[in-house]
Amino acid sequence: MTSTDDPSSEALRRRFLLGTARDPAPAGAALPNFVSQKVAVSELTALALLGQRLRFRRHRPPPRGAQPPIVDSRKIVPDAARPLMRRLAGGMGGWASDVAALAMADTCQRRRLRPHPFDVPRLAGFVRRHGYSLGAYAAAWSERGKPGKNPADDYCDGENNFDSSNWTSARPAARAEFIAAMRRREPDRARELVAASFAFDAAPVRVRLLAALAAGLSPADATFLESLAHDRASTVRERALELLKYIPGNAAAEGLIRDLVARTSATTAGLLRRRLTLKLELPANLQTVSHAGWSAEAVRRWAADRYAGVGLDAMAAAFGLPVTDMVAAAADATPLLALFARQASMERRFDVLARIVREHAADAWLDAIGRDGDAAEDAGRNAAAAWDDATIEQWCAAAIAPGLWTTLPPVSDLERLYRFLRRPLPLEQARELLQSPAFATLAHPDRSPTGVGPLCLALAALTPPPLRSPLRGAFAGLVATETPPLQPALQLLDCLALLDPVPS
Amino acid sequence: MPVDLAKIEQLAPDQTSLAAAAKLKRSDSWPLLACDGAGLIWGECQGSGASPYRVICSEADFGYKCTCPSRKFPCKHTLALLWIRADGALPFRTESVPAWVGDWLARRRPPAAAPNKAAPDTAAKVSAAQAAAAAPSLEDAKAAARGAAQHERNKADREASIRAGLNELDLWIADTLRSGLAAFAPSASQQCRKIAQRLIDAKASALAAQVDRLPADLLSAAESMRSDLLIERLATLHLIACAYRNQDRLPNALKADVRQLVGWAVTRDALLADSAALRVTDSWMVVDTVAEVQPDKLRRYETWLSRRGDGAAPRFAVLIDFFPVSLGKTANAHSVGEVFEAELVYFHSPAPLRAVMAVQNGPTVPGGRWPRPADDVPAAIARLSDVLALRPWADAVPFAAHGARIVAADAALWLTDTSGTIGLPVRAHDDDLALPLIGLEDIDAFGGWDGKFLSLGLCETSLGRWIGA
Repeated sequence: MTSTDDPSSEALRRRFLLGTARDPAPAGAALPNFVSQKVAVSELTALALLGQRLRFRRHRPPPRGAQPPIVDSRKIVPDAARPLMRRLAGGMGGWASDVAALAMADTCQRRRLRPHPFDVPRLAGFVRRHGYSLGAYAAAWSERGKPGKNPADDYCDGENNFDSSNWTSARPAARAEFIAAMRRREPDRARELVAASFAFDAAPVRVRLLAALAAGLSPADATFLESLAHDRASTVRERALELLKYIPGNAAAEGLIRDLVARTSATTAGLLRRRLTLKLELPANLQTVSHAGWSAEAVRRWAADRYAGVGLDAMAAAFGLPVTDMVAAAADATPLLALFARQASMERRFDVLARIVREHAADAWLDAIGRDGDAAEDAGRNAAAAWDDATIEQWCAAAIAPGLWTTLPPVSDLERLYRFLRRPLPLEQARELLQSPAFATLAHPDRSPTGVGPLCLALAALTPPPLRSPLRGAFAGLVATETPPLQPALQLLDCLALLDPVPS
Repeated sequence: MPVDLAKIEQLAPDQTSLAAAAKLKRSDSWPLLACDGAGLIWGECQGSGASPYRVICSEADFGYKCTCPSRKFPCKHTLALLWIRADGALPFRTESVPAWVGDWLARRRPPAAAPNKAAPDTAAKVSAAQAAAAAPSLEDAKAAARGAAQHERNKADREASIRAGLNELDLWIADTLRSGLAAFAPSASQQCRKIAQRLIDAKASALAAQVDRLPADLLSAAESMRSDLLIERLATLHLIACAYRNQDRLPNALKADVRQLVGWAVTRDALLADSAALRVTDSWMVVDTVAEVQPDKLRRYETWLSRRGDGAAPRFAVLIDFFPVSLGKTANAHSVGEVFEAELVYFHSPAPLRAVMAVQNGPTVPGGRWPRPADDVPAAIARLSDVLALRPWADAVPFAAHGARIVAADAALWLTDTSGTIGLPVRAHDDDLALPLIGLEDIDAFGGWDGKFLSLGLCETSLGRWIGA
């Protein structure tokens, strides 16, 4: 049908569109119901009548779309939390930092909550970044508009929607999540699935799937990873080589051990009681700047990145020492301590990690999780992601000793800790943190007011539900000293209290 | 209405203002913080200058005034004052209204001024103003007669000028038809600007604004809809011109309406003084807020109200305010869902819609659920036609229906009845706000129908309230 739904007036409409200079508009004939055939109708009158006819026209709605509604079994967040979430993560960036958004997303994931559907468009940036932690609806929203199948089919929430027969049809993020989940349960089966689909995937997807395999690496993975040495994409080759060195007994690992031993000198120290000391010879480019404060971190990062993965026992055997003696011998060699801390964390040798933290370096937890820019960060993060709550508690008990801290770590380090844990600190460590002298430095007058806000935000994310009230009290003390940027941290505390209430 | 952080956030022109206001919450920035105990707060904020800025704010309707030179409205001082009030961190002394606050109150419009008591000296000033207004009665009778005659001559001159302008408008439309509307779009801007300038010269400024808006509306419409839109707009312009020429044969309400459409503005004071104007006192709920920048560099704020009481009076009203764009971004004083008691005075129209608030009785408070509309979707669509029949040039008609649903088809959204047999296309929001409504049943929907699309403003659903603004 024409746009006027009326063939007679359609002729008039066409004439107006084409112009009436040569061919006058058939006004009377086109509007028989409105004007008498005997009355001469001007073009302008005909135009007015046609315009009114168009204004009264009503279209029939198209048939209902075939797209099925997205079913999301999660509960919607409490109403009181909605304005807080919009304020903290609304628009494209929201008010708060990434760690606040991450804390809210993780809490939603843990408590099986989802944002209110009406808020999802207003939380566009947040949903795009954390859609897969926010339930099926948000995940589908974050994938909307991309070419492909119905996004409702592509959501991997608790592995309910996929199995090994159809996982390859999902989107990359969902596939990586599926493989990571299976890796925790059946590591060999996960590797076999990735190997079977590898030839059909694009390079970015292959890199993503390899990252999902990083948790729980074992010698059984060596063959597959070695086969990737000839992959057509350099990113995949580099990623595979990176993972290979975390497999004990592998040729790459053996080479690293030889290199480590060659770089390490063993000497004795002490006057009354002679003891063995180990010292790592640094590369020339790091030696020249080793006096600068920032380069000390670079040295620790270099050692951990280069040699982590070869195994504590393998290193101890190479040095001809028991592991505990090896750690003690490295007491004055911070790069080696950083390496041992990282390795102990990866191997879940939490007794070794605790010894390093308690006896040698209270900030070794940063080496364990990987400092900013570490190549091994992803591997470390994935390892933690594969851990259950009990393992995380053990790790925190070994690595986090706030009582030994002289001052609060920088915001970036606390945020990295949250990203590593993806949950608040265990109750014991959080309590120790709140009571520590380091926490008291938060109210130090020398601390920049603008720096306090992000620090409080990170602390809010790391605080478990039972301690949020005391933390709020501590923040209230800061508010009394008139530190304005605290609002996001207080709002995050309020929001998390609603999403994740104190268990009764 | 109690001040809360959400309201302050809504009022704030941007995030920077909020951050700046947060820094002013210290007690040493405010040598004076006071209130009158009846919803008026004021304070003095020490800025970088020698004398502090004076800030006043009404908690009843969030009217405000600050003496700072900021181009943001409200400024950080106003936001800080409200924030301090909301937090309750600093005490407000209860005292009588000082002269500078009373002065502001006296100059305010009645809605907020009514519930507050002005200071005695203010009352004296008002009395003086009234006395001054009464002064013309003492003028020389001859001078008054001369003035009235001059006024009549001016009016007649303008009438003649407008009629000449309307003739030129018709001539331009006829020429456009002869050239063919298909060729109009590429040169729409120049053509419309030219005839709009002519209409301004002819003192038909409101009609000129309609012509000026045409190119932008054409470009924003889908290409397949442009020709019909152009026909409708040109037809409406001609219709208005014809109606104006024949205004003496029209009913009073229609005549007043068409005169306003052409450019005979009715001031707020004139409307309030018009005893024949329709006045409705009731409880009103804000159901939509619209802000848009006009080609004449004015920002236009529309506040759509739904009457909550019974009776035959119009169920909807729209308050329209204009601010210069140069003032920067300002927030609408009302937000969707708020409720207040007020007397509204409607502009004369066969389908009364636009109104001004004569007086607000009591504070603005958050309202409950929007009352379920009486009409279902087919009845509400039929009501649109009724309004169009009464006022053929209507460009925004309120639509309210229960039992609606939103369906998606071919990347477009439609509001339909439950059976899907009748419906209206929904205007797409840039940020896809309406998408979550898809699949929900039995929606109570309010929106504005512009002849092509329904702009949803508020929906009551099984998941709660959806707000489009």
